[in-house]
Amino acid sequence: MKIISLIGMLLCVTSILAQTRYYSVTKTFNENGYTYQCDVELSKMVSLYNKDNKWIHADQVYNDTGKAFIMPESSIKLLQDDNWTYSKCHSIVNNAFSAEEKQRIRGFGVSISMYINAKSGKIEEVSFDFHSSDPLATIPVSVYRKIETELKKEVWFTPTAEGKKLNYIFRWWKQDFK
Amino acid sequence: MTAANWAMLQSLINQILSTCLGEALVGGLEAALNGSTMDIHLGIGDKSSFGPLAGGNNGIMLSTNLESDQLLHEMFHALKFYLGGGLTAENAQYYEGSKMNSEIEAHYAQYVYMNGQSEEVAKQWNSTHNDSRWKLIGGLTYFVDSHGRLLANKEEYALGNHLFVNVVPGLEKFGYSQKSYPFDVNNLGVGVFSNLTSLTINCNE
Repeated sequence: MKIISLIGMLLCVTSILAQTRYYSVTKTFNENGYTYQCDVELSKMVSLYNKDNKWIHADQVYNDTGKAFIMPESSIKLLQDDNWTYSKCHSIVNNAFSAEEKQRIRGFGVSISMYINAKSGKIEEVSFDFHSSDPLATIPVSVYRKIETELKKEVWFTPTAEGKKLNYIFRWWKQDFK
Repeated sequence: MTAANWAMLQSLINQILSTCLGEALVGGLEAALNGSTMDIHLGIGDKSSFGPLAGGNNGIMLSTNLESDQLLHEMFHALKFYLGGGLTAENAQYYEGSKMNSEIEAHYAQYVYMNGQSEEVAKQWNSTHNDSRWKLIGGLTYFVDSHGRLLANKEEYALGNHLFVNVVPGLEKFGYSQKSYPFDVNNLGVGVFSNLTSLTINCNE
């Protein structure tokens, strides 16, 4: 029994070691119909996003004054409350990974950032953050692209009057896989 | 404060005490005060803070719509202040010179505290703390655990680099100016979370 367990453990270790790590250095992924940019910092944090994204490099500002938007402590609403976007977003991310991938990334998480059109409430851009030593770095770019396209297609918001004053509305969450 | 204010405060403290981190924090603060008292004032604004109050003492200024996580945040500042020696000139220099470090730890403790609540409470809190500032704080979970200890597969230089390159400049952009909130670069790694780590030594999560 112990020998079988040991062999099982060795196979698992071999499997983990054999996984390709796609995001160890800064690089561009030229895929079929889209291009993704992967920026890796000295800390080995990975920022992965569609190369067409522009808001990721821009501060949130008020359109009329150009003054930076700072969320106050009491947290003003930029998007109207709803009862479906939170769970839909989580479901899209969760369903993008295969059963085998979910097993691999269990215990780790990915940060998802959405850059929302302040007038229409549509998601314009999506980006992902994770650490290059975590198993999320063994997930191919096509999975992240799938999340991006699904979020843009399936989720939308209703900006508040305050939200409409901004150049874009930012929304972030970290999804841990348990 | 009115009887209603006291009742609200008691309720918030009870919520804090219901968690291992909160119980350790209240006990730690009591020990750091060493028999002294700390002022708590009720303000009219929407921002809570720890610092000089009317009358010359340092203490916590509470906002009117305070939640327990915000009180916990301010109590972390108070803990650092009183652990360092309170109103001594030496401590004032140390405390004022590392206010950014304190903000990072207090924010992270707040994040850990709320994400340690029931799934429904954590979900509700996360759904309203989803701006860039909280992305910076939540991102720290890629380096340290809920005790503020370095994760097994991470290196301290990477955490230090992440703090210096992302978290500190990010918080500066969100109102924590370099002038008012200096970052003590001599305390760049897990030392930022030292109070959280020592407080949670007997906590499971």
